[in-house]
Amino acid sequence: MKYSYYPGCAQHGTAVDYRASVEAVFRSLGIELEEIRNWNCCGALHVPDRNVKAALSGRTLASSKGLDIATPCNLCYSNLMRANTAFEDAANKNRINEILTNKYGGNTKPKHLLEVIVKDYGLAKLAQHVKNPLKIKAVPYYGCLLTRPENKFDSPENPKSLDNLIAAIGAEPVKYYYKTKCCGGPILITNEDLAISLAKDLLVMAKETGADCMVVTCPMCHLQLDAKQKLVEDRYNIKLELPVIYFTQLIGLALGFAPKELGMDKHLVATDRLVAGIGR
Amino acid sequence: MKFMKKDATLSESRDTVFRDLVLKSPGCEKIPTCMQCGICAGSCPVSHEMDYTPRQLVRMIQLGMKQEVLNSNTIWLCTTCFSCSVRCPRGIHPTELMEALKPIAIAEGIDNKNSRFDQVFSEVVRKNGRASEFLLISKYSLREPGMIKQAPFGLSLLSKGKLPLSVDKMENTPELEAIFNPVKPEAKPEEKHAAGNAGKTADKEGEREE
Repeated sequence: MKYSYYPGCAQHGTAVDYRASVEAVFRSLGIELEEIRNWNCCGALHVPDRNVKAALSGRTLASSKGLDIATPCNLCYSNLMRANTAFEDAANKNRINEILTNKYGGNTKPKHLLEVIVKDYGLAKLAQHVKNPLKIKAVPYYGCLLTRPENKFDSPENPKSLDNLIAAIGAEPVKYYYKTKCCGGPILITNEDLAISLAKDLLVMAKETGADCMVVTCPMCHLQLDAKQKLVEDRYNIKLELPVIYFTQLIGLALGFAPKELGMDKHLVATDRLVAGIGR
Repeated sequence: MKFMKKDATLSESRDTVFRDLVLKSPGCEKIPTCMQCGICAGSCPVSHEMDYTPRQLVRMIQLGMKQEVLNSNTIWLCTTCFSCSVRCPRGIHPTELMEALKPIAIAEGIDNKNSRFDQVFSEVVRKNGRASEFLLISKYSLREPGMIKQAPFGLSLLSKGKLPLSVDKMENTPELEAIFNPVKPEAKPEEKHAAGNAGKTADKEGEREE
């Protein structure tokens, strides 16, 4: 199995922990991720012009060397999917291709790493590699852009792929009604109070399920729910201490990696108790 | 607040050119079919903080209420979660509407903390090809002194090695320059005033001076 790999900007910054776990887990599973040379930012949600964003992602999609493009980030994934939709329009496609050095035909398939594991690699095969079944309860949190707006990979209202992954490695996915509710990430810099209130809703609901941790698939969600959790606690005078881990870290723990190899020492909310609970 | 909203809906300022421009952009074609059911507003995680809910904004587009629409915080508070888009029974994409409105608002001179952030973000990506968080936050803080409040958050990330001070860059970026500032040789002068083109390029004008 081989993919062109589009890490996205966060992997070189706030998501170094995610990066460590992706590298460890995918190497261990024998899934090859070949990083795209000289890749560019997808524009996230903050390049206000959709035409520019489609061109940014078109450039990425054009450099896939005929492979599917795998990405760890919900924002990158969503922008690649939306660019493909933009390229379906012939006039749009010609206009953008006039700018691009490598022309894009519109046929590259973007995949989130969760989709790579769940659909392409397969959960049955993943289960065979589990050395350390995780006897924990975990909140599956998908965020917005993994399933919306294109919803080609999983349901935009009640996705199940992450639930199934959690179950496949021996843990229990808890029922969580906010699994696709917005974390507030896109406005965390500009409208902090509002962003914090959204994160609070998610965290409080997650805490109420009695789960040991929350599992995420996106660097922005992680920033909101892990790095900003202390601020949520202070602002609302509540105690949460809920570890928030990437799904690749969850898999890594089950495969027998040490937490440090998965970048879990970089989290703002301590994961010691979670790790102790799974017998490591 | 509620009364203000009502007043605005009674406004006499109608701009059909603006309305038609918006209705032509992707995701907005079906706006005329809106029946005001409000599932967009009910699904929106931040509609309670908006000047006008997505439902109201869609109606205001139908009415061509350009100034009220472009001056509302609705466009900028949208978190782009697409909950409204996947639920609309008419196939309208309110999220795409917000995205269509942003460049138009910037072209019309709308300036607020959100539009400034978008401009800083675009500038960082245009120059470096990638969005280094540290560079982004530093540049934005220069324009937005209130950011000092978030300094402890930045420090907590720094302490964990999650905010590298080095700038992540592409090897070369001339292609990015072309992506952000496409040359349109075919555009005749009068077409430049069609807000479609204005919206596409005008948001870069200010940044280039820096």
